[in-house]
Amino acid sequence: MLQFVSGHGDKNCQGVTRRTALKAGFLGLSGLTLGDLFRLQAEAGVTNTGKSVILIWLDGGPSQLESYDPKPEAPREFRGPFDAISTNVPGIFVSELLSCEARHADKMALVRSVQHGTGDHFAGAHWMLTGRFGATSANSEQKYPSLGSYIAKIAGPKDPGLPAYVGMPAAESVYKYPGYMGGSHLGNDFDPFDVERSICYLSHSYQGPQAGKPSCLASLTVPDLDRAGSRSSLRTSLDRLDRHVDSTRLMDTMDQHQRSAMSMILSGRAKAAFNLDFEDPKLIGKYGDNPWGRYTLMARRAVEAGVRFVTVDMPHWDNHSDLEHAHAANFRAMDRAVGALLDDLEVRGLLDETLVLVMGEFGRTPRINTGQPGIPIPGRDHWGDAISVMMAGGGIRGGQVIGATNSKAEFPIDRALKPGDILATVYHLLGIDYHQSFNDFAGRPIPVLAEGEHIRELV
Amino acid sequence: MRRMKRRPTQAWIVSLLCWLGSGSARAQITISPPAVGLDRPEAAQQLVVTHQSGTQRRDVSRIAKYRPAVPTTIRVDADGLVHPLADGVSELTIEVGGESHTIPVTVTGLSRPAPVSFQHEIQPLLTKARCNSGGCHGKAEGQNGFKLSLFGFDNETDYDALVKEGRSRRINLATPDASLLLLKGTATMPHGGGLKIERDSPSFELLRRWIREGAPFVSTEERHVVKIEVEPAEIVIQPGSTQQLLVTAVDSTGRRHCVTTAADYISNAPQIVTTSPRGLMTVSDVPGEAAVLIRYLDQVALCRMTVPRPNPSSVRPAEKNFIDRHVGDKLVRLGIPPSQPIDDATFLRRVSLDTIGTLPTADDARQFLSDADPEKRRRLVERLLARPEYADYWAMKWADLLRADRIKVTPQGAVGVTRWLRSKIASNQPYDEFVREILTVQGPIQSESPAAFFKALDTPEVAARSVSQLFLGVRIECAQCHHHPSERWSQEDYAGLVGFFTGISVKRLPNGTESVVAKSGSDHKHPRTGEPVTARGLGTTSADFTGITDRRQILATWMTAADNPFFARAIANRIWSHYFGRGLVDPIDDLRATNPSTNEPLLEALVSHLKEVRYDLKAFTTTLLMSQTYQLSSIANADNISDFQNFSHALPKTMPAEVLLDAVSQVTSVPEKFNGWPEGYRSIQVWDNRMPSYFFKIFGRPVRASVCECERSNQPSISQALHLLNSPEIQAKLSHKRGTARRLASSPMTNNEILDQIYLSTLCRYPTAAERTLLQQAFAVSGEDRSTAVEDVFWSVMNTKEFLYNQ
Repeated sequence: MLQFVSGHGDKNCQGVTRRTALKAGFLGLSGLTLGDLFRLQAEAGVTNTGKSVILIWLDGGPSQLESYDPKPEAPREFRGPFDAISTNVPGIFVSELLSCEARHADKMALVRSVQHGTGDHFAGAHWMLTGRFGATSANSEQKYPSLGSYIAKIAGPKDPGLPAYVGMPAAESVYKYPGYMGGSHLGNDFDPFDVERSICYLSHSYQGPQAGKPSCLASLTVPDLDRAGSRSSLRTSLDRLDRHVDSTRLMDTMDQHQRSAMSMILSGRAKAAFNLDFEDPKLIGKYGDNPWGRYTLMARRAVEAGVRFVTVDMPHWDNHSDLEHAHAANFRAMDRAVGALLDDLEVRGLLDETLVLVMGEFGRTPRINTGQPGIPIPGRDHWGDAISVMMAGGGIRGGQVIGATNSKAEFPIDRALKPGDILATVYHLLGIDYHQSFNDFAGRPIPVLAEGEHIRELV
Repeated sequence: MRRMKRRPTQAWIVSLLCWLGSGSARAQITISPPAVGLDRPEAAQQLVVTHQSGTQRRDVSRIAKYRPAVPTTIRVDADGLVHPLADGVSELTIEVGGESHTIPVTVTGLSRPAPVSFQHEIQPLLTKARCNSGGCHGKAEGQNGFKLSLFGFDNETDYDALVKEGRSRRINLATPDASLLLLKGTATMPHGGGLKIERDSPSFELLRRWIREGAPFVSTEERHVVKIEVEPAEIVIQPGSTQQLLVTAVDSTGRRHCVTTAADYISNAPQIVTTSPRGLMTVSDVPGEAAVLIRYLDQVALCRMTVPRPNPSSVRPAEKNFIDRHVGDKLVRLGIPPSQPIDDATFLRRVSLDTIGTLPTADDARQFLSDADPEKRRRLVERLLARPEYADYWAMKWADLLRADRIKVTPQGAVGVTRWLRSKIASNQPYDEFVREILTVQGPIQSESPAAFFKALDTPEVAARSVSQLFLGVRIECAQCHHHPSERWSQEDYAGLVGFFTGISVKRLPNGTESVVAKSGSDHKHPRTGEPVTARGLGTTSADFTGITDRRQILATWMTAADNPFFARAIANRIWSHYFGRGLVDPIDDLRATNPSTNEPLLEALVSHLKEVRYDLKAFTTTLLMSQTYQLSSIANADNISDFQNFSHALPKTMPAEVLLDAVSQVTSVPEKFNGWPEGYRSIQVWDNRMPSYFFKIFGRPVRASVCECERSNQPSISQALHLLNSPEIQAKLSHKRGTARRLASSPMTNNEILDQIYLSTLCRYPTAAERTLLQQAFAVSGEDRSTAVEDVFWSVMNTKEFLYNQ
């Protein structure tokens, strides 16, 4: 932790301390102008839609039957212990576990027919997050860049003083950081920026200290910013003494990142982005006063401040046992957070510019098992043939169900889709051409997506 | 953007016209080709009209006036493209700058056109329209059920896809105009790819005629294109001007026809030259060199364009060895002056970080700065190359390339490779022997040997393309699935190389360890035809395996032979790139005619030198480091500021993750503690590439998943900046109770002496007067609390670009 010792700068005649003045000067230097940003984006071939994405990642694989694709008519060993409920859109039903989201079905598109066919966590997560088959449990390296990395690379941050791609608390898939959320051949500068790397992989029932202010911005919490400010101006003054050093501007990027980093530590913008102390405790309660709810709320703050892509990590869905309690509790916690998020985005007028995407690496076996060895409580196993994905906001046409599975939610019978179709829809909504290519390590141009097209009913 | 660029061009045209009008006696007009022959309705001949005056040449193809003797025979458009109108023999008069020239014109084949060839006319048309590109129907899965081979390398399959599949809807022989190919291509029907072929354009007419003729696969008159030629192939061209290219295909019978509008153009330096589909090159204001790749069918050609500075300089770097001569020649040709030579402090820091990945200490710096020996730089290089850190650092680099990933090859395998590398590098084994040992290794992967490399290369195919990319600088990977789009390599070449590795396997031994075993292999099958392809080196036709069980020995002999065109070039370029921040060929492992070196005479001289010193890499490295070019400043002057490829100034380099962490640990006197390792190990010594470390992760340590140096990311990120500026880890080092800052603060040293010590240990130099004045403020503000001030100064210096970069 930075321990900023309180200084006693002399006040000048206006009552401003010398360090405050230094600090103000420093902040004046920070950041690109918006014009610069738009120019850079124009060169990158993106139509800036000003949209952000919040990916709620249900790591481990959520059941389709207990969420967006309930089958109340199916035999009990398929149907499961929960009922279906109606939503605010006539004819659309969801599981009773999603009572909060049910009030927002008019904003939501439920895609029920995603299918990749693999029951391997690694293969499934890689497929869902990159749009491609690539990794397996035997060879689990990420092979292609993730959705968030491409968006960070192509669209950049909305506010240049903030990172483009953020993991809350840390972007993860199948226990790996960043797992299939990384930049791969785009380079590690398109890995997610994790706000909390020491405490992560948290379940909703985590009892430890609750998320509030990320420790990487710890000096935000120190009452005396003077020393940080003075250090920082010392550094910039040193760099400026030697201005000619970077006459070729090869080091510009480092400069920009340093400015962004310092402004995150010192300025109000980052506070706005990542500090839940500015939120009404009642609102925290609505999201759920637990890591899932709190990080979902922090995600809203982040996109509001100008972050382009946020992953909220909600792990621990691999319930081979205990569908009725553990898996259901996950859904209730997720539903509460997502329902509150949709409410909140709507109230703030952010819904049209914020796409919310809820998914995991696969669905779960339609036939309920007898539990796993040692835990003989019924659960569901891995299922890659019927995956439900929820999308809302970001200009998507809500109140729709795309595709359908058979009577037992085993496989699509209408509009079978690939993970790439979901990702293509996200890229399309952000104005990103998903046919463009970037070179891999062997110099071959690799298109953003190899399969999939945006779902036309949704956009 | 476009409008702004056009203005100087127009101004230039006006001045050119005035200048042409003045009637310079030595001016000369040349017209290419000297005669026009058009033999089919869709044929079009590009004319390139050049005005030459002394050494100045200008393309006036779009200024010239074209007057056909018989206007009903031909038509010439504004771009200088001649289209046929009716059969006949005639003449064309070209007027420019008051001169006029007449060339003969022959038009045939209009009344009774020769049949259209699928392979030689339709395929290039589909390529030009991007139908078969990687983002559309050319991708592995096709697009909306219609799949073509990438860039049309597979005629049979593409023909079937167009003509036989799709229930005759794509090509409708009964009603040609109802063919989906025409309707979708022209966007008459909704088409995801949009409008690709204009209605009534020559391309459209050609497609329609082919369908009307019955859309045959083989026409009665096939003309196999054996090469393409481009005019001009090499030019010096003024900034802000344009140049029309003329591309001619030559078929097996020697017949020539213009394919300028059908060819593809790709510039390797769009900041210098941009291309148009019509073959018009537009030169920007940035001096330098560009190579334009021209692709037609499976043929490639290159146009090299040099753009000199408007007010050329003829200053050269001082000539310390042959490197400076070649760099100087190039700079003079471009008119770019070199930067100043660097001082001792910059040299010490640069050369230490480059050779041993380790920052000099304050004592090293003091000693070197005060040394009066005029040969001290050479002696420093000798000392550095003899240090154990040299072996540590280069073993780390090579372990990346040999994919010593503990997960992939087991921890024991990774240790085995790293130890072997360290000992070979320390003993300075000649590089050709070093590679031969790697290529022909057999035995346990846990042993001190490069055997684990072959565990990382799972299959003969991965082995072939990795070895090719790493040691030959040839990226053959593309040719696995299709003809390499910018190279001569075919799937046959690819399969030929794979054949060297088919006998290699990793066997599990009874004691649970693994071993690389070489048996006599078999020829690898052609990926498309399934026919076995004789194993052979790239560009050769066969190899002799008589009496050989391990085919890799033949490969090693071919690779390290004196006349191998790739081997020495690849390593010379790789080492150059390490020290100069950019390869002469860049990317370094992509050597091909169509990605030329920025200084070919220099690269050739380096290759000869490397062979002269018999692949002694330390001797070779010394030559690089003792050149004036290496010792130029990274500070650009007004005239070389936009040069990034001719080495007129040094390029600042980011430090690899391990080097930077070692530097931070060294200057703070707080060693990094690696989990499970004894204290005092430096990052560059840690063989464990999976050692959990947030620092390594964000600063781009590679996971060793490929043989490409590009896997090591050197892009700064916000996480890096934030970590250095504000992380508990870095702060702990700064304020450590046994750290440098505390020690200096509590020492009897004066504030000035402390500043000296901090600067020498971080930047190898003394602070300037301005820096002293500025930093004294930190002491003044903190009053009695000197350790706060020292920490602040340290923090500030460690976060300057001068510290974070190797300049």
